[in-house]
Amino acid sequence: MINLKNINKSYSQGGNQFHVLHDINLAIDAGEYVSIIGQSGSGKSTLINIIGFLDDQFEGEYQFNDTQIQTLKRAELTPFRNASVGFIFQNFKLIRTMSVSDNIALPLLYAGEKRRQVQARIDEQLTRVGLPDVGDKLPTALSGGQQQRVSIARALVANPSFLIADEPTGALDSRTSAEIMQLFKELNDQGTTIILVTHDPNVAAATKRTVEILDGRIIADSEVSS
Amino acid sequence: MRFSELVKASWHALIANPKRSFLTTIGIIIGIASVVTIMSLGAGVKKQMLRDLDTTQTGQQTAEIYYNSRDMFLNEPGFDNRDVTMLMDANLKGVAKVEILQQTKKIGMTAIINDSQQAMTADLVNKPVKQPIVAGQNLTTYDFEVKNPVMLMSDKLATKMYTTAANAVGTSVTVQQTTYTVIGVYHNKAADARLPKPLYLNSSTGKQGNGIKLTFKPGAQVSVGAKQALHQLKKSGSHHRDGRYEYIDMGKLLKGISKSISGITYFVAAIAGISLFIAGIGVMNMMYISVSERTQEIGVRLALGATPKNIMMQFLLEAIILTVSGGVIGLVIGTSVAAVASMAMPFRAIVTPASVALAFGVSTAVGIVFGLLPAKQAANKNLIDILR
Repeated sequence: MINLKNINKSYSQGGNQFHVLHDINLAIDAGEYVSIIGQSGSGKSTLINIIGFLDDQFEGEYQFNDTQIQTLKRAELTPFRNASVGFIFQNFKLIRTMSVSDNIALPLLYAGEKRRQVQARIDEQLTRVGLPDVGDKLPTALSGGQQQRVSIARALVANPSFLIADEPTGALDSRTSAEIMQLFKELNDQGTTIILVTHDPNVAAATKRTVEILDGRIIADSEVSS
Repeated sequence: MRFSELVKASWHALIANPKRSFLTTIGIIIGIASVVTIMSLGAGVKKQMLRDLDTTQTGQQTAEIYYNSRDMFLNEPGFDNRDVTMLMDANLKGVAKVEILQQTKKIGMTAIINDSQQAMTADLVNKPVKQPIVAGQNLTTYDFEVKNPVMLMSDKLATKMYTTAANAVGTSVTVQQTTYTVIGVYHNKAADARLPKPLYLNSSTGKQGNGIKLTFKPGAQVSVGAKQALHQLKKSGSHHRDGRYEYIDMGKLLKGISKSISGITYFVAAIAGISLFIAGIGVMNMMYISVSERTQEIGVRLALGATPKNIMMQFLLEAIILTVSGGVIGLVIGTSVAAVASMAMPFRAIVTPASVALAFGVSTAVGIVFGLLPAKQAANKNLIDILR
């Protein structure tokens, strides 16, 4: 599904040229549960920005199913991202002034659907993440773990090809973290492709494949022995 | 994203911060309210001028001259047929017709009661009126039909002239050569007597009144003819020794008001312009603050599939909703202020479609002009920088 060939990325800051990604080659198939692990500054965030169609300024080839991403215009990338990726962030990034349901509805509304047509799917996703009755509440009325579940529901609602979870447990305590990781495992068992970014080897160990990045290079890519 | 969803999202963001949103609209409210007030007053005075100035409903131009008696106790009307003849003979410029404005309700007159001349006031009635009768009997429909010269006298006048009410019944009162028989005494404080109106007005010298109406030929200058008439009356009017004639030049009056209103209009327009400009800056300021406060939200929306155009529209709509709400509130306030102001003016303020359109147009324009730059800034945020 995801096929990266010789991806290089550099940017300049204060007159200095930084080469953040060196000749990245990475293939991820549908249904995989992959963790990308690395220190901060290793380039893992840059890599997932490219994988998640947030960043189209790179050299090399990115083939997603049958599409060559580097040939798309920026305006074409937005609907592509809307339909293909679900994002889960470290600090949830829910919009605080909107109800849980409205937050989850956003990807569908931006895809051009009508508000009253989407309620059933929102309720379905909320049930899936174990929060069937919070639709009318504001995100601030929920605990951190619950907020992260809501953001997972939001990532799932448009039925994307894969999820990108950027340090999903970074803001949670260890017990809640374990619950979220269990939820990811269940989703993967149901067939959802998940790419999880972390600096925590324990979190990475809960996935099925780990890709280790150091100084912009992939230094290890291995199946997790269970 | 559907437009209705964008509007909803914008509305949501505004009511999430009601105090700030309301404070931002105050400038717009004041600006629009003052513009609407002054436009309504202007429209009111214009309409009054067209309608009342010198044109009657049939398209004729008229002017009225009034007489005020110098002697408070002499209630005789100031105009009679001599004045009409005199004015017609004077060949006034542009005047086609002269007629007395007959008083039709409560009038003052001089009457001969119990052989002495008395000033009295009388109600003129067209049909019998039910009321407590102290002595004698009430007027009947039959009296009106056959034009019986009968009348009622008030208990106050009756006791003054004849000691008791019963004594007054059957006596006679002479008004302008017509002698009325008092058939009853009734209780009334407002007037001294009640006379049948048809009989009073038809009596030979009945054409009397305290006002005179001049009708002009089409295209004539009303004030010129009216002033000539006034001059004639002052010199040789039937009652020129006992009182004063007065011509109220409505045209001049309204023209004066109109002139000062158009002066005020420019002044208020200038203030409103400044107010709207400052209000616009306030909107812009609030939108910039909002954009920078909601950087994360913008990032999330972009990541979830919003296009930069969606983001720009959302913030632009926020600014427009803000200013248009201010415009609507301003319209309501302006209308009420104009309505209250008309109470103290000789005309009624009118809210024209033009001022409604102006309120909406100007407030939308302010929203667009001052919302565009912040909205553009929101749309041009770099997604990767935001999500870092």
